[in-house]
Amino acid sequence: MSVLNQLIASGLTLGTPIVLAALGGMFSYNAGVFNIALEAFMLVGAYFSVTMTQTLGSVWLGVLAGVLAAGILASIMGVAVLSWGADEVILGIALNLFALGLTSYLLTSGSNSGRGFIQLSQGLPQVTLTGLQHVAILSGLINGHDPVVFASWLLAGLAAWVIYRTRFGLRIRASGESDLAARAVGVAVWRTKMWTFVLSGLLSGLGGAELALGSVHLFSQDITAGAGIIAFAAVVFGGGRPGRVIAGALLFGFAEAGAGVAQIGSTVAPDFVLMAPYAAAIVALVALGDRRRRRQA
Amino acid sequence: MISARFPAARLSWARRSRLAAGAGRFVGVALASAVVGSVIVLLGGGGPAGVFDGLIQGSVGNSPALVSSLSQATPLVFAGLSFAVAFRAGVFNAGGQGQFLMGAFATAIVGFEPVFAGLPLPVHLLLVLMAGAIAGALWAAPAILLRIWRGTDEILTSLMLSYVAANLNDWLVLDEFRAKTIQAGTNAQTAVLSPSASFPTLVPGSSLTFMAIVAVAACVVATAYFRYSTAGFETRLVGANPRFAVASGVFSTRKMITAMLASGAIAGLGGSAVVGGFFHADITPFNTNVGFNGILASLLVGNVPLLIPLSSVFFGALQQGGLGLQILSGQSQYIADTLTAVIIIFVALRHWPQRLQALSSRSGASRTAHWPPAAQTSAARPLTGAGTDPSRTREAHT
Repeated sequence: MSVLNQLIASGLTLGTPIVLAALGGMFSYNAGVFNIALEAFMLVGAYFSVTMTQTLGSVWLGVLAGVLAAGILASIMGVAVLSWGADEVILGIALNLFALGLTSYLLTSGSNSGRGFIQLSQGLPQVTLTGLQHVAILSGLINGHDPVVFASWLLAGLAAWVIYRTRFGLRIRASGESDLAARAVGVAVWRTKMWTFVLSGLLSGLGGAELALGSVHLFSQDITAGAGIIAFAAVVFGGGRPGRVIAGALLFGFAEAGAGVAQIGSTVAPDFVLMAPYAAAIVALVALGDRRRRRQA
Repeated sequence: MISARFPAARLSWARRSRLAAGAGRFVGVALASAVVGSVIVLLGGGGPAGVFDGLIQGSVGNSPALVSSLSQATPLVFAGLSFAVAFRAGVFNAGGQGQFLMGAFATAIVGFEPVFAGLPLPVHLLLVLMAGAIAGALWAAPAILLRIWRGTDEILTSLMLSYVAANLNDWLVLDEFRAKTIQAGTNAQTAVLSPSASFPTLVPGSSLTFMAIVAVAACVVATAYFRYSTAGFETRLVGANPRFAVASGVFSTRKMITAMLASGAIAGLGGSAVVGGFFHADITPFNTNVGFNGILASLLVGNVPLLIPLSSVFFGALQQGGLGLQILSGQSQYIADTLTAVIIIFVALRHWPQRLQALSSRSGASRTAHWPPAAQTSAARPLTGAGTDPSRTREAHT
């Protein structure tokens, strides 16, 4: 029982940042953009949420700063891809390296030099409903988590609704299917795609902030350690469909938690669990026949 | 589109201007990056002048630093050439990092296995390099085969395979081949290469091995292949304009497969170079992004094989400069990684001078003028570099 509880609790802790980033990536994916810079957005979100919490003295302002910083980076990427002809995959790889370099540099230079991390005395507040302590499953699901975890559930539903039930979502999907066709019927493709970049940045930034402030309350070098890439894998795995993407992201989060639990006295090497998301994404790509096709003009 | 860009004519145009275009980009991008780099240094509370001076001192300030810079550049040449070779055939190999890791692992295994110990040095070295190349090629194979069989985007599969490789390497080194003795505070590693497989160094006591010469030679061979051989020309044709290649009967998926396998093999040799020059074993976590940085090195010079050693030395020197900066003046070495990425972000902007022009003239159509990319006019071509067809989004950015 306690193992299951532990798995649920740590699965949610590890899964929520991935879910949030995957929601962001899902918007890009539906707009026909392979956005592997989710990792960069998360890292920047994590860094600035921690340092701004330190500077401003408020965790929530810190989260806001992290989200905005990631959103700004994403906007720059959006302009570069949409107007300046940069290739999104190359720019994504470059941005991932840039975010890693930038946050590592800022972390180890100036007043922070000599320390490998920034530790905060406290992070996001944790929700504890005393009545639930006797119901193990519900307790693992709810107690000890911060509000961002619950916000991610709301955001997940909201994202699915936006993509499938709103005019904006329809425009996103139309732009993703065919730029030319979308333009022909009057969709502002540039603006629509730009919004998906901004959304992917904001959501990934929130994921990064949650990663840094949710349970560990610190920023260390490369704290995301591929979480953004896993989120991207989840997006590919789910073929951009909200339900599948969220399920994939949670699955990968739980798998990671499972790897952590399994590490303590088990025969399965955690490495194989950790490589599972990427392998699953490849399998899904092959099985789904690459619904997105090759992006050729 | 085809009629406007008759490939034979374009290739000859390309041949003439490729070197000039590559060199021109080099300078422009460096200036822009220096500005952004300075801003970041200021954000970090440092002085740009001191940092840039430290980077230069640390990379080319004295002869040991220079040798170290060249050693840093060696694996980058392989990784960069790996990307360029696949790219010429119209294959986007984003998974050089994985092929590089698998090459490093195979190199270490064949290098330390007692079975091979005692072989004559040249024989053992040849085996070691073959192992690295084969492992890299094998890791590259699924991506291209899936593209040809199932139409799966090789960018995604090769990229995902990189992360699979990272975890696989972690498992192999930690659980399967970990050397008995691990010093505290170091990475886990396999046994070290046996003496019969230790890479001869060009400068005694340094990390600069004969692989530097192999790397440059590989670039020359690749250039010669693409320029002067029929198969190379046809491969370029397949990459530059598949439809024309089909029409002229030279299109074959075999050329793409060959290019991708060669690309993987070259990336694998990059792994050999790192193992032979630096660690003398396979390690985990393998905290070098050589595979990814190679893509950057290749892009910096428009994927021109002959220029890749130049860009690699540049990036290698930057890396070494960062290390020197840290050691000499105690400032963070990561400014080097940041600068590397900033540079490539500028390189990736395909037609920004044009865009800036459009902004200054502020015509209402400027925003849509560049979208979709297919609407690119030939005016964008001087920057798009050579050997590519601007009508293809994927290949058009060099």
